[in-house]
Amino acid sequence: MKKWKFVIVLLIILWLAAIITSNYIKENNKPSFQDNNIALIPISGEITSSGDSSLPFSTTGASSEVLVDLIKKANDDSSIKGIILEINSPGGTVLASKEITDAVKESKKPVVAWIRELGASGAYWVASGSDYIIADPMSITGSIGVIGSYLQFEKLMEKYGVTYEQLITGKYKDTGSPFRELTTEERNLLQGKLNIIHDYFVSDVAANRKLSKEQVEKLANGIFYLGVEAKELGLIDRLGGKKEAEEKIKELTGLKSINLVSYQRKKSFFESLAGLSAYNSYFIGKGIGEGIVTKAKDSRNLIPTV
Amino acid sequence: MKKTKKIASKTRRFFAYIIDILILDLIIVYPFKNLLESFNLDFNWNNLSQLTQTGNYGLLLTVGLSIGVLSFLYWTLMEWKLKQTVGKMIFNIKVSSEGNLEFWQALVRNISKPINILLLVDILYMLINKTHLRLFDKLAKTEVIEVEK
Repeated sequence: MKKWKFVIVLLIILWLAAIITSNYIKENNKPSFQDNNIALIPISGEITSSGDSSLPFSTTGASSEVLVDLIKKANDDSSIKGIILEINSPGGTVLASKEITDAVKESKKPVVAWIRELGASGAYWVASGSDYIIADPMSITGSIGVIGSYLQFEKLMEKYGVTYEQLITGKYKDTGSPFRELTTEERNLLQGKLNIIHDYFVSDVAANRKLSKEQVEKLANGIFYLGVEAKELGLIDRLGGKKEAEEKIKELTGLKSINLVSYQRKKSFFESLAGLSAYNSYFIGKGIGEGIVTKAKDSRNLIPTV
Repeated sequence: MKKTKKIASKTRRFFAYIIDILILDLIIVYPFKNLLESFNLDFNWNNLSQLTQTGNYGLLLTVGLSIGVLSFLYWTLMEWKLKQTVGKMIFNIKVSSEGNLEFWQALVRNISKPINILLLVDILYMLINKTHLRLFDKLAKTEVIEVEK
């Protein structure tokens, strides 16, 4: 009993000491943030809503959930005066790309998109939401289009005597199953949905870049453009790299000098370990493995990507 | 008849340590989380790195030192007075030494607890030497044994 009395008294004393110390620090040690901070937010890898790529346990890729949160935090943080998005991504799922684009457009602080090696499709969509786009002359941008392709195994299954038993309620429930061919009706139905997404994508890019829809429609054939071509076509504002991005954000924020603050979610120890193993596995089975296994493991492959 | 001491297993020590960490997180770290939140900062690595990038080393150092010193006091005082922390009580293990456990012994054996790099060295010593003693257990001339029922 005496033992527990000591424990309780000590814990209370330590708790009070922690409260008193933290209050003392609060009163006497306010954080002295510089007033020229610019948030540098990297967007690299495949854009998905959760941040997972198609690899199991993978922590690579850009999560719209995390990125939207970081953009919001940069906006709420009074010490941050502007945002530079460092883009190196081939795009990703429609919803995730749109969520990030919306967050960029809603930003009350100036946003400069700096496309490094790759800023294609969904990643270009995100960049288009910013106030200014800078890309290297040799970077890959554009690639405005939607893809919903998947591997289909019906013939392979036939060869090995494997049959697909269709047990469904609802005529279209297994549309897009990799185990049977699409009917013409289903193909038209799915193509129609891709067309709707494409139309939305084109309209949004046109509005963001202040171009006519017809102008963007002409460019939106899925082809990628090098930075130099993208500049000519009005898809980006300036050729350059980090230096030019910094110059532009200075101009937009009216700051004479800036202090770049890296805004990214730090990986936990376990995530880093998982990421390392996934990274190694990816390169071992790159190509065939990733292509077949990830497409075949899920019969609902029809998540269009941009 | 001379009683034989049964050395506490590493698993029991590990789980006792986890319990202590959870208690310290609740009573000591939590008030400091509130402090950082009052500066509009969440207690996460992104914001801690933001504090370093924006040159707020003083604040970080003060918070880190305060948490470290208070945690150190918990381990040292508990073991000096009771030979046990709450985690050790739950897992029925205690600190033992040749004679009475002196204050300096409790102090030395817990030096590594609030300093991650020292704790790592301490545990690596235990694993590499396949011994039940941490490096600072050895320096303090203490060991952790099972409580006799």
